[in-house]
This record gives sequence, C-alpha cells and structure tokens, in this order.
Amino acid sequence: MEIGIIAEEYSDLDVLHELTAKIVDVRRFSFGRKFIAHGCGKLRKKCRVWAEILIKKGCRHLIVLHDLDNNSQDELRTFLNRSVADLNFSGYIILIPKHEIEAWLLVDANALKKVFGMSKMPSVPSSPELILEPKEKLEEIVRKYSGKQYFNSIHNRIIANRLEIRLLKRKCLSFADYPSFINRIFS
Amino acid sequence: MFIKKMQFKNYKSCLDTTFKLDPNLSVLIGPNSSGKTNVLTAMLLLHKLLQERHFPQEEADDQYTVQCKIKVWFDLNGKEIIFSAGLNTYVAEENRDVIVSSKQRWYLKDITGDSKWITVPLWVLLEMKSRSGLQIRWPIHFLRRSKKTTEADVKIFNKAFGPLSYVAEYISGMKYYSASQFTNPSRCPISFEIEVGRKRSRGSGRSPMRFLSDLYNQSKDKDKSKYNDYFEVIGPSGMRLVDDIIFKEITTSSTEVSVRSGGKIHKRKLKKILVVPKFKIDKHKLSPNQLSEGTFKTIALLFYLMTEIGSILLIEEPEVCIHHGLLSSIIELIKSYSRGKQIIVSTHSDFVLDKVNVESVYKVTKKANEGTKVSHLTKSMTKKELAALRHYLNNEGNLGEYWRQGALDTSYGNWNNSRRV
Repeated sequence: MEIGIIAEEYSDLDVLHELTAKIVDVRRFSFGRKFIAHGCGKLRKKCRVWAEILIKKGCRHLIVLHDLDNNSQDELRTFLNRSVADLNFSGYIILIPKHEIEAWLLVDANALKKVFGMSKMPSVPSSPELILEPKEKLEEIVRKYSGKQYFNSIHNRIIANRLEIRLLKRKCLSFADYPSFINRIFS
Repeated sequence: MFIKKMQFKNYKSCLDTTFKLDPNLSVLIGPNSSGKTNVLTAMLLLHKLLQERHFPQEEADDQYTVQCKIKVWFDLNGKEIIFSAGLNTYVAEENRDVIVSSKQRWYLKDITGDSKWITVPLWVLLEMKSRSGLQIRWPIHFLRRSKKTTEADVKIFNKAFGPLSYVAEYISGMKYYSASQFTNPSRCPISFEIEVGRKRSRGSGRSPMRFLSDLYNQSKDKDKSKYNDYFEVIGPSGMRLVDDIIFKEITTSSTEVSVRSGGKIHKRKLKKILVVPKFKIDKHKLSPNQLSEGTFKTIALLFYLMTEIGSILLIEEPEVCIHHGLLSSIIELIKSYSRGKQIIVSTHSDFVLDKVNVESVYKVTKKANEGTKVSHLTKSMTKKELAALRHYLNNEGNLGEYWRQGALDTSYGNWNNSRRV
C-alpha cells in the first residue's frame, strides 16, 4: 500500500519506516511517495500543496510528521490538520514528536546498548518527551556509555530497527496513536 | 579551545579582513571570487608556520614575495591569547603558498597579567613537545638567542609555557579538505605495494594513493574501532555506499642492492605485499578507479573526517559531486563533529544552507578597493531584517531558498561591485 509521507528530514522517514515495519509486514507498504521539507517553515507552507500532489499520485493515506520543537502543540496540530483535513484521504495522521523525533529513540535502553555495543545498560530518561533537546541527550548517552559518536542521519534508523515498540507506545504520547492508525488502514 | 576571531591583511583578496568565528560550525557563503577559499587558505598559513624551520629562504626572491599579516584571537577556557605574525610569502606552483620568513608574537595578558608582546615562533613551541627532556629549556634557549629578549620576557614565557604549547598543538591539528580533493577516482591506482612490517603511508598529501594506503593501514590496525565506526557509516547499515571493502594481499619478494664505500655490495631481501583494494557494491567488486566521483569523494572525505584526530577542520564545498540525499547525511555528520571541534565550511549550495542553523552562517563579500569582508549573517542584519528572516524560516521556507531568492543580499551586491571593477 502506498502511504504518502510529509516529513522534515530523511532520517525522520527512516525512523517511521522502521517503526511501521514493526506493526505491519514490510512487504505490505511503501513510503516511496513522499515530500521531505528540510525545515519546518517549508513543511508548513507546502503541506497542503504536497498533500494534494500525493493524492494525485494515488496515495489514499497520509502521514504528516513534524517535530514540536518550540511550537505550541495545539496550534501546530490545528494548522496541519486544517491543511489536509478536507482533502480526499481515506485516513491521515499528524505526528508531532515532542520535542524532536529523537525522543522516541530514547525509550529503549536495550536497543541503544545493542546498537552502540555498550558494555553496560545506559540510563535513559523515564519520560523522554520532557527532554527539551533529545538529540543532544542521545548524543550524550552514546558518548558516555560507548565512547562513540552518534550521527542522527545514520543511527536513527538503526536504533528504530531495534526499538521495542511497546515501550515507545507507553513512554511517548506523541506516538501512542500511530500503531492503531496503521492497524486500521491495513485491516 | 577555539579560534574566536581572525584578521588578515594584504593576503590575496583579504586586504583587511577581520571576522569572528563560531566555536563549533561556521558556514561561509558568497559568490564566486568573493574570497571564501582565500579565507580558508589564509587560515592554513597558521599551520604552515609550524614548518617554519624548513622554510626555503634561499629560494626567496624579493620580486615575488608579498608581505602580509595575520592575527588570531584564541579562546582557551575563557582566556584570550592573541597571536600576530608578519609574513613574507610567495605563491608557488599549484597556487601553493610558500612562507619565506615570518615574525611571530604573542599577547598573553589574560594568562600572565603582563601586557607585553613576546616573540616565540610556533615551530619552537611545537618542537619542544617532540623533544623529550628539553621541554621548557628549549624555547627559553631560543628566546635568549635574541638580543632584544629580556629576563622579563623569559618570566612571561615561563608563565605561559603550558597554554602556548597547547595552542601550538591545536594549530598542528588543523586539517584542510579542498573542493577538488578526491574528485577524480580515475587517478586512483588499482593496487599498491607495501613492505612487510612497515606501517607507512604511501602517496603524498591527500592523493588517492594516500587515501587507499591510509584506509588499508586503518583496516589492519590492532584497534579496529575507528575503522568499524567508519564502515558502519559508509556500509550497508549506514549510507549504503559500499557493501564491503576487500583488500586482497599478494606476498612478493625482491632484493635491494646497495653499494657501500670501498665497493662492498650489500644485499637486503625485502618481503613485500601487493595490496589490491576492491569495493563491493551489489554483486560487483570494483577497483577504486571504477567508483563514481561522488562515491569516491564521500568515502575518502568521511574516512579522514572520522579517523583523523584534527582540532580544526576547514572544508571547502563539501557538496561537489554529491547527490543531495547523501549530502544531507554528510552535513549531519559535519554538524555532529562540530559539537566536539571547530569546523569551517565554505559552500555554494543552498541545500547545505537548508541544513545548518542560521546562526552558523557568515557572508563573504568583496568590494573594489576594500577586498574580502566576512560578516556574521544575523548579526549584520537590522532587527527588521532578522525578524523577517525568522518569520520566513518558521512559516514559509528554508534558509537556502531565502538565499537563492536573493533575500540575503549577497549576490546582487557582489555582482554589482564586480561589474564596477
């Protein structure tokens, strides 16, 4: 199934692809139809136009992924909802990781331990969505426990691949609705 | 430690150029011929001063030498160290700067409390690091050779000895990656020979030969962690540029013959290894010269970025030959490294600009009679201009677009000025 994606960065798309593959068989979906904004301003400006193009390309479902950063959650969600709500998608979801998508990658200490070959279990925050700069936090944990350098464009996908989705659902509210959305469109 | 400010006078287009740098990442943008490369090569003069001991003074011809000045403000844990040098330079083949002579001075008030300038060349500071046992006596001996040096100077130097040697080491870690480096894999050899038991790099500078040799040596290093980290980035679990790197080794032997005084012939049997590197991509095993320019450039640039211990990196146009998807990953890598070391990048790519923080961007412009000027993008804006830019970035588009649409004012200004010239 072709699902249209609008995201800020390629690494966000990578993470979402790995997580989706944990919910539904990877052979049943493709993220080939996408728009990557490389910035939040552009995503907001172009969201509607891009969503219209994705419909024309044959996507029946849409995922919009936008980090919360310093925005107001309600305002951002309302804005993005307004951009796509009246378009002819069978289903869509607006995902707003708080404050960055890297918060999702902080939920599973075991995944980090395996990906970076850490000798002991890293201490990860119990509420990753409260961390204001989760990318920097992740970098700090990786350096502290493995001595390695963390690169979001490389490691986000690998961490997502190892992630326990049950933990992610429990610890990150911004992700909580995603598994049921995917299950619904594939049912 | 980082360089917080620099000044160049009379160096190529940098007639009188002063600018501050970001402690982490500084991105230089500007039209062709505005002087971005000159700013980077001027910074490299600092590194060249470390080799002053070997300056080819006898080759200097007054007719071709130019006098220029550089001044650098270092920040060492919040304390300022100022370095100033007057240089005589000329430009040799391949547009290479050669320093003929220099006078180098230091201002160390934040360290020593004394506002006197002292004269110690960088190479002396670095040399004392490598000479075991001599330590501080060596530069003091050098200082005392000058008739102008007083005991007060020696006292100041004694106090600043540690910080100065730290600065010299910092400068020695400066690395430069030019735009054209690694862009022609067809020049790359398909094999190379090494002597068994001698871990020595083959090839000069940053040639493709040198890269292959360094890559091979790193893969054979007892501590494989650096190589493994590197392969994780370029390999199937990372950027997927290559699936594997294979070094086929063929042992050969030869005899080296030398003749000693008196006619005695000395023979030495040499055991050598012919190394044949192959890059596995899908089902194909390719020689280095068969790789695409972008792939070759990326694997070489990332190799040095990830394995070399550099304190300050100067990267010219990382976008050359690179697809935007890959470039995105490279810029993210550069940003990650910039949190641990100072990196200065020059670029013509609006895509690179999309990926960096607006606070990291510096405009390079050139005006007739004034030469190259470098200014911090947001600090050189009025409040209204800055508010308009922030509104655009939050609601309308990306920084690269803003630049491409002419809203940063660099292109028109320079185009207009260059027309006047």
